[in-house]
Amino acid sequence: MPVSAWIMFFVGAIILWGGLAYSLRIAMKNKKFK
Amino acid sequence: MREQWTWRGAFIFAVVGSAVGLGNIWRFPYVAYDNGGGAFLIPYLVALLTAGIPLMMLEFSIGKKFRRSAPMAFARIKKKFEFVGWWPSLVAFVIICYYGAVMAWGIRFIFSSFTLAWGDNPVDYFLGDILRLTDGPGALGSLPWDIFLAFLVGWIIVYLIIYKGVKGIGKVVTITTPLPVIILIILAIRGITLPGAVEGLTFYLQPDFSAIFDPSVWLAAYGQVFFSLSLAMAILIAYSSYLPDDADVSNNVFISAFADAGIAFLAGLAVFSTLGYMAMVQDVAVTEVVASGVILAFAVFPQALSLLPGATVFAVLFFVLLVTFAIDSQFSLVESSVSSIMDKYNLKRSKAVAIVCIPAFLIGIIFVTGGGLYWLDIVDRFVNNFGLVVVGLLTCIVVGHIYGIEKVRDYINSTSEVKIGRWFDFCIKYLTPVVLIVILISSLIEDITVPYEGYPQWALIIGGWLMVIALPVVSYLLMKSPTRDVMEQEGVSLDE
Repeated sequence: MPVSAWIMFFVGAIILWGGLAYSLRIAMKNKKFK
Repeated sequence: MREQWTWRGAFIFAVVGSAVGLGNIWRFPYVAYDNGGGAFLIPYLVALLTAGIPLMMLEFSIGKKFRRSAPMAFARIKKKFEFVGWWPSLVAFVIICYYGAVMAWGIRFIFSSFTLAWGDNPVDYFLGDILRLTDGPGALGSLPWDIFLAFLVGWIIVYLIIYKGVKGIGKVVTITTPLPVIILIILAIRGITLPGAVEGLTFYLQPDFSAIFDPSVWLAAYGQVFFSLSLAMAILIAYSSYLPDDADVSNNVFISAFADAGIAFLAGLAVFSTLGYMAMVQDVAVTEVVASGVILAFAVFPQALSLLPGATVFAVLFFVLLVTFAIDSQFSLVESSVSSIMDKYNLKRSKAVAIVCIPAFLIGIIFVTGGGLYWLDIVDRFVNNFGLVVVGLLTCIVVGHIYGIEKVRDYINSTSEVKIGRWFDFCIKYLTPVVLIVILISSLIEDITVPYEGYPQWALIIGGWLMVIALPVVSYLLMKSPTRDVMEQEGVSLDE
């Protein structure tokens, strides 16, 4: 796969999946409405 | 005492389950491929951050603050805006009428997948053997008993879930939301390890940055985000009306939006890797096998799966995925309508569920006849382009400009883990409305000048234009009908 395709894969993965993980991490630390 | 989600996860699973649907599988990957490949991620992410997420925050906060589904929530802003809440509830009702048919096809195909019944002619199998498709919308043809049975089963399942209320929904979504995601991960891993997958993935991910300078690509991105996040159907308002007072808003939105977009991105990997394999096996170019919509879901992708070792397993998994993705979208749409009439008329849930489900089931029968796919196509097109978009616009105007976006932002920040800044105000008041107006105008021009898909005008009028005009008219009539909302009657104000 071309390098540019790999780059876009990582951009998508980091922002979307990473964003999800980060948001979940914030939520886990919060005690309310568990 | 209003029903409540038993825990935060139930709410998030419900929202994600509502947002993630068939469009994540059969629409996003193709739209990305057709609009610059990997480069599409840029306008898509911008649209997510400037329109999708702000609109979700708006809907979450309206529902949670006013503790009511859309019509009564908007009535709390100002009585005359109640119709702005009915409009999306009716949009949801229209969608559930035809979405039941798609669920029925999915359920039917689970059985077909045990024998890979589509063989070498999946399109003929789908359109002929399953749908018994007629020549056009004028001929409804037959009502296939197997599809009708699947349709009935689907509706019974949805009824039983909604009947139990928010607690019941909360239990069901802890299975129906993660299960298809796990299946999707399996399909993606299987797909990317196939020979030929790289060619398919290249078409999906390789960026054509010239697309960024094409306005139609940005329109496609905003459209995709808007249609994907369960916006403007009164679902998110209804679901968040069952949140407790101290529940978070902004981070719940980030979780839901990133989950929806992340799953769409993953689906693209699964779809294009498998299509790449199929192209290799058939010795054709990837561009020749790429498809979208129902043909991708019910013909091309099943055919690709049947080429795999262990094909039956993957085919069954795929259709279980489709049905579970569809089910939680369907019952979120039903809940939107049910909660609207429950709140307005102070009805018991059992009665409200019957009032919504029985007519929707009966009307939905049209879409499982031989001519049903044509009507589905027409109604879906018009309700999305003119129903959803107009509701989105009205919501921005009423809440952003008339109610006051600063009040909304202050409310969100008073109860949220992640604080939001003034970018939110700008997006709701100016950016999103402008984009929605452009989408609306371009859709209007397109559909007025060229009959959609060449369908006969009379069909477009009945299934399209008249339906679109009926939405605000019926919304107005519903607004004018006597309210029995307990809080309205007692004059209880939920304002600051």
